[in-house]
This record gives sequence, C-alpha cells and structure tokens, in this order.
Amino acid sequence: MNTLAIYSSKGGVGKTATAVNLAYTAAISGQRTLLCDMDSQGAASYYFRIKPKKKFNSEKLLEGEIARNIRGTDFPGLDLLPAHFSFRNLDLVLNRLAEKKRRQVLTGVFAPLKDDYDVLVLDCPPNLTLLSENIIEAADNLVCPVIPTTLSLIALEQLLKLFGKLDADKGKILAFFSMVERRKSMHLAMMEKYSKYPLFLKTSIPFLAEIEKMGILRQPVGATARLSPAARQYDKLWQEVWERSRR
Amino acid sequence: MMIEKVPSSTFVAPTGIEIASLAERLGDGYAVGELEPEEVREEYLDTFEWRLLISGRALARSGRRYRLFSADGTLLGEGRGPRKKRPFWWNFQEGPLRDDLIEDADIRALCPKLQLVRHRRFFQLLNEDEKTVLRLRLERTIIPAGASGPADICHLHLTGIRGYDQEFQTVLQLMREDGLEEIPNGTHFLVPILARAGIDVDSHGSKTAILLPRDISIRGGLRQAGLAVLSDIRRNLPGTVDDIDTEFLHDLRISLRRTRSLLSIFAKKIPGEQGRHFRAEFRWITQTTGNVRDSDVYLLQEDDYRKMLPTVLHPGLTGFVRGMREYRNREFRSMRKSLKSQRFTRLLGQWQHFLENLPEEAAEEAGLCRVFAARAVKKRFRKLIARGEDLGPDSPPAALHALRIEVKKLRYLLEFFHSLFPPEEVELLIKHMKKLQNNLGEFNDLSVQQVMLGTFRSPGRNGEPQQALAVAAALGGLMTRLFERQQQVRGEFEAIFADFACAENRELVQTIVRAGGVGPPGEAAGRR
Repeated sequence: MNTLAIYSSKGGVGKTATAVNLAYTAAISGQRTLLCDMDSQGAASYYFRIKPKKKFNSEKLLEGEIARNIRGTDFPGLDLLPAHFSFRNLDLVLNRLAEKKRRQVLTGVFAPLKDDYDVLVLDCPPNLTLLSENIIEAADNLVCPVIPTTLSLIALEQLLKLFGKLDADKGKILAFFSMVERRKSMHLAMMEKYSKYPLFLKTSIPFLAEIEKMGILRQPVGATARLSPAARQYDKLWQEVWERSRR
Repeated sequence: MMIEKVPSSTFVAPTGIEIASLAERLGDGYAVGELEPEEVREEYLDTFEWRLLISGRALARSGRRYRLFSADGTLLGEGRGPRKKRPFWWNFQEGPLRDDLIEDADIRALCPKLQLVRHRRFFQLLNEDEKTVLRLRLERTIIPAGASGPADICHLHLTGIRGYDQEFQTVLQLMREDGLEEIPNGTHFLVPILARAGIDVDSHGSKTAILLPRDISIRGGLRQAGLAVLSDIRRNLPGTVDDIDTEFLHDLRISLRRTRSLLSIFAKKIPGEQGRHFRAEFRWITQTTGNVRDSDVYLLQEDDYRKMLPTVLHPGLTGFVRGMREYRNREFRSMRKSLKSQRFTRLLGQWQHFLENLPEEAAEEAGLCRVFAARAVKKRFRKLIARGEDLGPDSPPAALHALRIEVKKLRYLLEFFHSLFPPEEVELLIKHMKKLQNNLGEFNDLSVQQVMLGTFRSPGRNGEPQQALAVAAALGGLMTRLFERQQQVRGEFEAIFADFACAENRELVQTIVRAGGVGPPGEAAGRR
C-alpha cells in the first residue's frame, strides 16, 4: 500500500481538489484506493456525498476503528473514510497520549489496511501540529500543492524546517504548482524560479472553473467529463506522482 | 483483510420487472437512476473440460474484443485478441489478459462453448444526497437456437455499496417478498445460463469417475469400468481427429491404455478368441497414436530445449523443430486415417456390445468384484516391490521401464476400483505413487528422447549440408544436457523407491486389501 498525504499548512491551496481527483484517477487506473478525509470540514466527503456514521469520531479513528466506518463512493475501486466534526480535536486527543507513542498513532491506524488497498490518499487539514508529524510519519510521500505566491512558498519552507527538526527524509516531499494563472506574471516568475528544485514535479494544475464547479456537481472532474482539460491534467499529475512514489 | 466484501445477490426475474418503482416502495427521498444500457453479442470460450469455469472465470469475445470475467460477473480484464476460432493463450499479445489465461488454459485450446446476446440495464439507487447506495443490473440473456438453446433468461443482480448495508438488506427483503427465485451466493454467473441452454458441464471431464456399488459382481465391475473408460475414448476422439489441442490425444491414449489394462486384469472373464481380438485391436490402435504423441512432446518442449542450449545452437534447434513439425503432420494424417477407419469404429462398437451384453454369472459362481480387485492389488503391489528391490545401481534402463509399467498397472487398478476401497488410504497411496511414477516417467522420457534425437533426420534437407550440420550440433548439445539430467534422475531413484517401499505403504495396501475382504488378517502385503 502506497500512502500519499496531500498536505500543506496553508489553507485554500487546492488540497481537497487534489486529494479527490488523484484518488479518483488512481481508482480508475485500477488501484484499489482509499481516500481518508482527515479535515474536520469534511470537504472531500461532501464532494462524494458521503456522511459519516453517527457513532464515528476522532477517538474511534485513533483507536483504529476504521474498517466499519469506510464507505464506498459512486466509483468502483474507490472507498472513503469520511471526516467527522470531532476531527477538529485530533490534536488534543493525540496530545493526551504518551510522548513516545503519539507520533506513530496514524501509522498504526492505517497499517492493517495494507492488504485491502493499493493506494491510501490522506486529505490533510492545514496546520503544522502533532497531527502533521503523524502524517509525515505515516505517509510514503507528501504531495504538496503550492500556489506560486510568496505565502504558499513560505508554507513549503516551514514544512521543510519541520522535516529537518524531525530528521525526516525530505525526499518524501513531492510539491507541485497549483491554481496556476498564466496571465499573472508573478505566478510565472515564481514558477520559473522554483521549478528547478527537484522536489517540484513537472506537472502543474491550472486555475480552472471546472475545478471550482466540483462544489456544485459534487464529483471528481474526471467523472463529469473524462477528457476535460482539468481531468487530463490530474491524470498527468497522478502518473508523475505514481512514478516518483515508486522510485 | 480487514475490509468485508461488498454483499451481492442474484435473482431470476420476470423480463418485465419494474425497477423504477423501488424508489416509491423505499420512500425517504430515495430515487432510482438509470445509466446507458448495453447490448452485446458474445461468444464464451473455455477449455474442453471447462477449466476457466471451474476456477471461477469466464472468457467472452465479441469480434476480436475479449473480456475476462470473475464468477460474479466482474470484469477482470479486456483487450484485443486473436482472430483464431480456437485460440491458445500464447496467441494473445503479452499483457494482463494473457497472463490471466496462462494458468487455467495451460496447453489447452480455448473452444467456443456458447453464443448469446446480453441486454444489460444498469440502475442506481440514490439516497437524498443523490449518493449511490445500491447498484442493480438487469440482465436478459438470449441464447439463439443452435447446438444449444434456444433460451431466454432474465437475472437481477444487486450489488451493495460498502457502508450502505441497510439499503442492500431492504431491497433484498423486498425481492424475496416479491417471490423472486434467489440464486445461491457464489454460483458462477454462467452456471444458470448453461443449465437453461442444456449444456452439461460435468460430462466434459477428461476422465470419468468410476463409482461401483460395494457388492457389485466381477462382471458388473468390468462392465461399468469398461463403459466409463469407453466414454472417455469417445469423448476425446473428435478433438483428436480435429487436432484441436494435444491434450485430446494424450487423454485418448490414457483411456486406450486403461482399456488394455482392463483387458489384462479381467483376462479370465473374457473368453479366449474374443479376448485375443480385443487385446490385439486395442494394441494396434494405441500403437498408431504413439508417434504423434511423441512428436507432440518434443514440440511442447521447444522452449525448454531452447533454454538448455547456447544461443549459437538455436538456429539448429529451429531446423529440428521445423523437421519435427513436418514429421508430425505426416504421422498425424496416418493416425487420423486409423482413428476414422471402419476397423476402429467397429472395434469400439464390438467392445461396447460386449460390455453391455456380459452375461450375469450364476449366483454360486459370481465372485465379488471387491474381493477380486483386492487380490489384484495385493498381487500387483507384491510384484512391484519385488521388481524394485531387484534393481541395483547398474540395472539397465529396460529394467526401470519394466518397473514403470508395473507401477502404472497398480495405479490403474486403484483408480478403477477406488470406490470399493477406503478412500483416504487409496488417495494416500496414489499420492505416494506419484513421486515414484514421476521419477520413472522422467527417466523413461529422457531415454526415449535421447534415442530419438540421436536418430532424427531432418526430412528433405539433404541438399543443405550447413543446415544439417547446425541441426546435428543442436541435437548433440541437447543429448548431452538430457543425458546429464537423466543421470541425476537415475541417482534419485533408489531413495524414492525406498520411500515408496516403506512400512507405511505396505500397511496402506494391507488396509485396502482387507477392506476388499481378502484375509487372513495380519498377512503382510508386499512380503516375498
């Protein structure tokens, strides 16, 4: 099982759109895929029209009671662990655990799923907390959307700093430019400057109305129009992520 | 696995069943959506003895588009495939579809078994958020009149969605209340279709199981075993004559040898002249099939041979294979002539007539088949052990060949009469025999191959000395490798035989013999 965390400490960079569309692309390319909505806002769950079961909450998640809470999406091969409102307290619950254990909790939660799924996609909330450290530990790769703007790049630098502090392998980070608007000279300049770093993928995702419309249509872009520009771009991104993650 | 399998269920449905009304019956904001329907004309292919079906698969084609399904109808893979009427796995392009077929099809041809037209309608049960919570597939299968059919069948498949079990259970209950016939879970989706088309899958095995009543008479045993083996001959004959794949001939030869074995076991029950006639005629037909089978074995081993040789000798091997194919074609034509001859047809008719009209013995002279069979097992086992123990490291290959024949005779005996003996013991003894048979079989094959390669002449290549030289070099290389392997196999024989001749197997034979009713208790089978 390949665990990919879609991560950025900054909000509004396109994490959920990335998680939803990459998970969908993985599933239709034949990988048994589970998307875990870790963000208490539940946007990924909303896109798939899935509500959590009433008895599910953050404590159940951390105790590993996830199998019975996984639900099938409308797409064969793609399941979802929906978010719960209580996930906003995940850090509080983690903080209560013994110091030795609390960074590996998520790793232990997901490990038993290794025979059921080929790909695990985590849609992560925007923060730099104990939960982030758990995610860094559990994921084989962190896929980080970066808008070509200063603030978004600062968020990436902060992540690199956290990796340094944790002595984690920075090679796990796969960044890509997200919500790119080619008419903006600043976007182009930023991309020009940073895309030479090997942690950046070659594929970028443009700012497109059809990605925005996912909120109305409530399905991945590829399910609405298989060959739309956005769908094709996510296909490309998936292929590059898949290839890099298997190196 | 932590995640439970998604539930599914299949019902036999009336063709006019209304799916949309389900939403009203469920209430609570449910709706039914329908997706694009599909109509496909498909031809299902399988090996002669339905290996794909038995291993829970189904291979369909429409034109050159092939689709492989699992037993519950899930699509496992698809792609373009060969145009050939009866393709082999190696006729498919490299890829997942071909990889999936290798194990089940092995060296058997994939033969057209059934043609049908499938009309499929796909429905989704949606909840108040318009989320799919259950999938429904209404599938009407029409089998046109032909070798099978005509038939018109309608099935409703329900497939749950993980986490929405309540909806699945509710609809399942509704269908049951409507009185729809439920097909047991785990049934291969083709099974009800084949049943309606009148195709009996069970009658297509390569070997008929012989089940004898415990107190059957000797002649009764001969009749039933003989007719079962005769049906194997008849079943494999058309495929052999049409040269569909090499296994037909292989299985035909096994049933011919089994018939000859019966003729030998029951020699005393078949009157003199008649017995001599059947023995001579079955020997004749078995011999006419020998050369084709031998060349099949060489041709099937082409890849293994290639791996044994350095690349420089490969062109020579190619020349050998070409020559072997020509030889096989010639031999095949001659064999087909014999198999289609009046002489052979008459032989099968006479044999059948003989078996069906075997007079029942008078009560006082009628022996029990199990006593007769048990005595035969005891005798054969004793003879086999004696022959084996006489062998030393310097014994000639012919002595090992003779032992191989003894083992085979015992194996056939156990197979004919297994239903009269304790099943576990028979199964265990056969399992132990297989090791010995494999060793002796491989030794013999290697001897035959070396003799054949040493005397093989590329037909029609006299004018090409270079080519003849290349073939000779390749064959020389092969013979060396085969000789080395044979030495190795021979070296393993003593230990394998000692294993077989162990006290445990002697006890097994004793138990088998005792169950047949041959006393006195405690008499050691195999004691000389």
